[in-house]
Amino acid sequence: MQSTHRQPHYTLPFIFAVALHIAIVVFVLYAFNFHTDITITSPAQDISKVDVVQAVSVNQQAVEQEIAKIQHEKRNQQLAREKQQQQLLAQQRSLKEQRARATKTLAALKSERELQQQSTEKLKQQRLLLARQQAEQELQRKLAQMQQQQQQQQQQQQKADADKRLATVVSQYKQLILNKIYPNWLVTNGQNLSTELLIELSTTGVVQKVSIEKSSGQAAFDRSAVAAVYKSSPLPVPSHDASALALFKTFKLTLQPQS
Amino acid sequence: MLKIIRNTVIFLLIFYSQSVWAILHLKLTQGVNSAVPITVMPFSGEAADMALTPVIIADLQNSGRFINHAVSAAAPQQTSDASINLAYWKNQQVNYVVTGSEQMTPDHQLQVRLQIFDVYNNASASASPILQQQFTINTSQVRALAHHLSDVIFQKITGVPGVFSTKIAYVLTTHPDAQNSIYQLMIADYDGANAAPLLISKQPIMSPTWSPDGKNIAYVSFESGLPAIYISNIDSGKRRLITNFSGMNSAPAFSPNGKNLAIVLSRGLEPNIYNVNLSTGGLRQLTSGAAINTEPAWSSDGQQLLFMSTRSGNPQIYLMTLANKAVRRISYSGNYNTDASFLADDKSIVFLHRGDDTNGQFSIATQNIASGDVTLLVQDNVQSPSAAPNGSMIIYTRMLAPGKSQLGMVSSDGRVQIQLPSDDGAVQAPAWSPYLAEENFNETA
Repeated sequence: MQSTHRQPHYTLPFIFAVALHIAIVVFVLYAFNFHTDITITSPAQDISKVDVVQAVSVNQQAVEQEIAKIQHEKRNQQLAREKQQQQLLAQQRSLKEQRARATKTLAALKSERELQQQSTEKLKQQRLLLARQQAEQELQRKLAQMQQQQQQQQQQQQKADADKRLATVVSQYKQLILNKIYPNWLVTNGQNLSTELLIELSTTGVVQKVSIEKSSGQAAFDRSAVAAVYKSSPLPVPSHDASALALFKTFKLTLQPQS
Repeated sequence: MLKIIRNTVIFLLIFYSQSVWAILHLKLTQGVNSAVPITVMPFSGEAADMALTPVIIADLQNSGRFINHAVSAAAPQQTSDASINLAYWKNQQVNYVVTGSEQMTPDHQLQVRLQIFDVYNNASASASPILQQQFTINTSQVRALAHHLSDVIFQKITGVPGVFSTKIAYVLTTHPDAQNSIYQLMIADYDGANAAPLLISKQPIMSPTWSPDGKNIAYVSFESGLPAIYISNIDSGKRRLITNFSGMNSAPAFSPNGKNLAIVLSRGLEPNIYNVNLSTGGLRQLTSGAAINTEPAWSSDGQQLLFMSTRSGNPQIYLMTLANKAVRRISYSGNYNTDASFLADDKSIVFLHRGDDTNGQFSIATQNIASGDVTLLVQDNVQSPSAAPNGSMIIYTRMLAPGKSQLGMVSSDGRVQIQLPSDDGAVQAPAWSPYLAEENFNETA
């Protein structure tokens, strides 16, 4: 997976490089042909023009002079032509050399490309191997994770079941405790009053201690609340369920009559 | 290593939350409105003719808030009144135990000790009282001290002042022979004891009512042949005429600050309610119209006035806001509602009520003003309810036969009803006093 992700990074520049090289070669070859055509045709036209003009009006001496002049010119022309031809040859040589160089470059490029292809192949294989290894590891990891998750889920389920059981037992005993305290709470004057008590029980529900956490502000009301709890001792406690029982060891009770 | 620390932290967090934040919190929103079990033990050294405890027991039970568990023969012998056997009283399910002692001093004064023990709020094995007081009194004060001790006990346990030292006023009518009637304006202890006349007349006396300081009584007297309103001072017996307009002069009611008296005058027309300024004598008419408007009763803040009116066709209770004289009807249940007054908190009223279907039967009833809920307390030939200043009890009269009636009391929850000792003749128009300045019962060391 990871190796295929990396491939485009190499492929694209590679293709681009090759294309660029080909483009250069094509351009160079084309440019060479163009120049050759032009340089060969232009000198022939110059020569025919000169011949036609010189043949019309001459006397002997003048002819001789003229001939000499023409011969001289011809020589000069000959020389110029030769020079031109030499230049052409030189140009051709240089072009040839250029072409050779281009071919060489092309070859070099080709071999380079092959090399690159080889190394890419190698890299690809390496990557494949790595990917396979990674996939295997991933699989192992996922398997382990799945097992762990399953375990966690089981534990959570067990905990949830236990919590639910605990909550049921707790709410049941909360109600039982309130039911037992209710008839013992003699409210003599409880308008707008509220007392919060902290109650400590023994494991058998015997009221060990009742302390006032938040006083109602009226001693008589507080006393009625404390008396109600003591008078209800022992309170029902879930002695069959240790974790629920632990919760009832110390708990709070708010007594607040609602009119 | 880090993992161990992290796990430990998590564990500690869970443990912490379990042990501190997850503490169970229960809420009890209802108790029972039943009498508190109490035992008043006979005071040591209590002589039969100077016994305090029978009066205390009667007071506490009259209130409806207490039930006295008599001491059985099986009860442990008290070696001293300074401590009790907690285990025994817990077993008896008694919440409070009252002990005490009486001792005559050489100069014929009575030394009285009182202790209240809270049976259930006593963590220690050796019980210590929640209240301990000692008094030295003259032998003439025994009954008054007994009422005072009842007040002390009542307030300590309920948080509300007791009314056992308050008094009642009422009119007693007797017929010594066929031609003559004698009318007496009587004042007695709240339980009917120590009754004594404030005024005796051969002409009718009606509607006695207490001033807020408990020192004066206003009433209607026909002694001149026509009705007139007077105020008498209880201690001096001095009287003052307030109104004697032609027609009806009736139903006086002191305002809570004692400066005004609401009265009813007819002045040749239908009876209407007026306010008399007691210092200037100035009159202000409060109600008007062709219907009967009578029986004014003040709210404790002096801002509102309850009254009865027949403006709807039959007698019903109305409430007037004095600032703007705005009136609204309070009673809707029943076809005859009169004699209304506020209970202590001004949230409820007590009144004489006849339901739609009770066949002419009258009841003493209470009504929550906000909810309109009516509670019947007592029935059968009852009249003239008047509430105690703490609202815990209501006194009324019951007709036994023509010319024969007696006083009854009912706790405001209807639970306890008692009949007061019956005089010969007819007892009418009882009025419960406010809290009175008590006799001085100084605690002695």
